Amino acid sequence: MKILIVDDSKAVHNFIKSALEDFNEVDFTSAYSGKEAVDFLGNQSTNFDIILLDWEMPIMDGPETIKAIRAINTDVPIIKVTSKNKLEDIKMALGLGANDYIMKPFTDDILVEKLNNFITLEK
Amino acid sequence: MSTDKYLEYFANIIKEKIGIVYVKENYYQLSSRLEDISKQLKMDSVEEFYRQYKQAKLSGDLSLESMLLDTATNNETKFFRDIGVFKAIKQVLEGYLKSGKSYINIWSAACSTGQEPYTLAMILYDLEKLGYNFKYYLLATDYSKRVLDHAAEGVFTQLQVQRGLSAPMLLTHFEQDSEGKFPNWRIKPYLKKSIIFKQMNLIEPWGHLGAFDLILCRNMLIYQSSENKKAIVAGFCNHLVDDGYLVLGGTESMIGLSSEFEVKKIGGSVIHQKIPDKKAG
Repeated sequence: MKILIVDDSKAVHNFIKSALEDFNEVDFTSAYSGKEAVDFLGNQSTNFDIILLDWEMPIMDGPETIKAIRAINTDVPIIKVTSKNKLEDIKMALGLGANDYIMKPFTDDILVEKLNNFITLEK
Repeated sequence: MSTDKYLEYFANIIKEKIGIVYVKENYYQLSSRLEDISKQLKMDSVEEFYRQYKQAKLSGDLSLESMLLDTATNNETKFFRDIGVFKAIKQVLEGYLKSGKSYINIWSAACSTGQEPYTLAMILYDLEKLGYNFKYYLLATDYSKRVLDHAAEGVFTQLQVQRGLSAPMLLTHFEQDSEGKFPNWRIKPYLKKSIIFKQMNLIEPWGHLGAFDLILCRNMLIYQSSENKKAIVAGFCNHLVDDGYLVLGGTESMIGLSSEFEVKKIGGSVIHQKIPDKKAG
């Protein structure tokens, strides 16, 4: 499984990687900005099974990034990662093409559950 | 009196009243729950709770007993807990509807804070959206009034909705409160009004409940004595229509409890179907 993590915080990347370290054949790609993520997606040789996208990033934020990603790839599941839980924000994210959301701080089991709705993680 | 004696005293009351068995190895759990109640009541210790409890009982005040029994139950739950089971349930219900059934009776028999019956209501909603025309009766019971009140209110925290519910489902079936930094989520009225919530102790007589097509009692029997388990399962059998289904928890088995059911594996999940002939015999 190829997972693209898009978050400006290195701590979040580390947490996600460690939460999933017991699962087989999970490859992570780290993007620390929206632009970096879009560059990865623009590279034809890079396909991802799922994207975890931070919504509150400086410069190119979640909404801008998801619009750019969806212009390139309409199929890849995207989970919005956010520290806000307002209904309007969730609605907007779905409208822009997010498939689900996960609210920070989250636990290992919630992350695995959310991912398993789209991909199959195996131990 | 040693701490173990207090724990034994309360363990006996819990077993007698609601059937939950605390063996000595699990006294630490009971102790921690009693310490929580004592703190909540601003009492110094479990011993103090014991003294107040005895006094209250003598004067006919059952409030502390109610708190004790309430805290003894395990209310662990979440929306779509064990997703495979709910996929199997959806398949069973759709089978009923395809065969022309127009009324479905379902009982969530240890419903805790409501995630299970609301999950069922969401599945029924999906089936309605698929074009099936039917009515249903969805009964949700629990021993604990505290969790039932929570269930009937239908308000859940961000953490509770995050466990098991996808964003599209959340937006379909919930409204959000306007207050607080992380506002709570309120189940929409059409789902709430579709469920009858009722306080009920499964080890006491059940009264007239009717016949159900599907009964769920997950992760409750494991806390009961073998006698209680058999009696409760026999009760479920009597309240199921012929070929009705009983769903137990993932680690609970029917072995040694009843021969009135056959195991059905649907998509990897186990559910128990009542054997019609047995009832006739």
